[in-house]
Amino acid sequence: MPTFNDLWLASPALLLFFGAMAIMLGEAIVRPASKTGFWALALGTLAGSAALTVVIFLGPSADAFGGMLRVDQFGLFAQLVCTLAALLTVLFSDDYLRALNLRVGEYYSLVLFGVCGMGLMCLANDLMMVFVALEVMSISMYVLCALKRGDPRSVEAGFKYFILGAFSSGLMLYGISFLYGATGTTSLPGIGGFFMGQHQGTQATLVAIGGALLIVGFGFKVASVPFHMWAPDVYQGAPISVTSLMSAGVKAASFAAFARFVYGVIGTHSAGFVGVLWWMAAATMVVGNLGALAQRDLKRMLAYSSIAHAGYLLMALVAASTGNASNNPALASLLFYLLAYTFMNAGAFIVLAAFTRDGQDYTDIDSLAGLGKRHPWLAAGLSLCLLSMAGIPPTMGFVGKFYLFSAAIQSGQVPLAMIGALSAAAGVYYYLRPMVWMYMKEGHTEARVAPVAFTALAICGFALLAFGLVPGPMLGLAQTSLQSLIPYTIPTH
Amino acid sequence: MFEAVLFYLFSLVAMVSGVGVVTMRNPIASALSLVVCFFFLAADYVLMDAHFVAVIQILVYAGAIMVLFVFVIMLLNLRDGDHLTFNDIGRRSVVGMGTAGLLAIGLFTAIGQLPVLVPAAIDLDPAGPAYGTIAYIGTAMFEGKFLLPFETVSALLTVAVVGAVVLAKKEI
Repeated sequence: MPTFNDLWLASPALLLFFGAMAIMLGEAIVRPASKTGFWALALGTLAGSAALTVVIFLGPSADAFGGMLRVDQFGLFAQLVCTLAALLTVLFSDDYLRALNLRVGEYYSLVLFGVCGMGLMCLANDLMMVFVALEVMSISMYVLCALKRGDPRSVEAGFKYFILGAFSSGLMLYGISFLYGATGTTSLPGIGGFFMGQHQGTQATLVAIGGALLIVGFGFKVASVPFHMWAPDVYQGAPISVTSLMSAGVKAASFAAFARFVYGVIGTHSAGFVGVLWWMAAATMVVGNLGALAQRDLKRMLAYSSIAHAGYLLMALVAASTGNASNNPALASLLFYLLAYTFMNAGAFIVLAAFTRDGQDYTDIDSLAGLGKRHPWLAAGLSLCLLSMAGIPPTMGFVGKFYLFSAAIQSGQVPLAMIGALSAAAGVYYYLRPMVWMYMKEGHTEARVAPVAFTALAICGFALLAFGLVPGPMLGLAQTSLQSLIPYTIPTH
Repeated sequence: MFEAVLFYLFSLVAMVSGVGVVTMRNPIASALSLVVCFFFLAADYVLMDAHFVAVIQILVYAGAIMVLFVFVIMLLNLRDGDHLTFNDIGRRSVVGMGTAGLLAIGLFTAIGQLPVLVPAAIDLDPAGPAYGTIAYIGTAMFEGKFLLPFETVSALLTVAVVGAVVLAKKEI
């Protein structure tokens, strides 16, 4: 039976679940009502969930629900990043959805369900739990992508994401069943212990296939090459606020679970898996950055940029599984970079959402023309986010990239870091191009940003600058978060 | 021995009908192959002492869900010309088949390396006589460690229902 402590440790996710249910019931009871009430309720629930996560973060780490969840600071940090991504998204959602003529109360309900799944996924310590949480998150996202039902692109995005996502979930489940067949358990510590114990080496092929299929499943969710084909179409077709949540939140949750699996289970024991991850990271960085060069649609460009960022984060995973186990700088930089990505990504999408009017998104690069003159603050915000994505000081993105690459070099991944640095340098071109349009071209596209959305943009900008100039405390927090993460396969002697 | 023979026989039928679901051109024939597949999977579950799962498989999948499938196919009212054709996939199918072939080779290698189970080595009662009963499953789900995944699945179903209604309803 669950104890009170179990419920307390899972309370951020539980609160989100109840909030989502309340919005759904409210939608049925008080319609036709102003959807702004649901917006406020969603915002309050997310803020409450974030507060609970912080309180739990300050406590000791523990197992909950018989080992299904491992509530440690690593997972809680990632959970907080997911909640933050949702908070920033919801902040600009009300005005964006109004401009899109898409006033659906269920939107907020699905967002909360999705974040509930993300949070559970960050803490999941059993492959069964990883899978169920991943599905809660994914199904919410499939529906949110297709929410603009009149727009064929949105429907296409939802359908494509659903079909491919269901397929990759199937492969992942298949992989879990192989690991279960080989080790007799689905819990991550159990599987890790199997590798450490005397059984090490037996049934190697089952483990190899199971692990490979799991990597396919995670690789799809984080949109890494060669499982990235869906990302540009889905990111482009989905409503802007959904794309914002999807690229930051889904990525953070998937990487948290992926890191737990790689670091905790396959880790240093399997050079083969690390080799696979190495190639995936290298290809993802190159394809993401080169693919973005040719894009004129900003959402599509940001989709390729999100693929490239998945590559940098994969590089951190490679470094984590080859480097020194204790006090691992690679995973700390992974957490820090996830946070940085959340801010810069949300900021960029808030500015893109400002162009939406009469139910239509305007995300072509030409809509940016002349923005610098007419809306200097919007232009400045977007520029800051783009500079941060490109990794130019003094932004948070620069600090994140710096620690990411130095962690990779420290653990001996020099060639991978070189590939990453070269492709990131090529990427500077497409991050700077929108700024040329904003400041050096004439144009007269309308842009309108509501005060709340502008506040969100200001938060993003402030965080990017503050953590860029004074990264110490946040980086220290990321490093302390790691000490609770147990590597199951690395013998402690 | 006899049980092992039955197990592989049932599995073979389940696999053949599974292939049938994908290759049949007539949707009704596909759906009926799926029913056959479900039934023989249920038979396999019985042989693995999972009686409760077997019964649920028949009731829920072969019963309720298949009826829904067939109803939907009937409602769509397909004519002969509407049957699915695979001509438009073309070159991409080569890549798909190549990948699937690689996966199949990997799977066969993995399965080939497993120790062959001699019937005497099969433990028919892996967790005592209660294994597979409703009481056993209920305890594992509600008092054991599977409580949280079980409850999360109910959240998952809620999300799926809400999502389906949001996307399919005419006026929201």
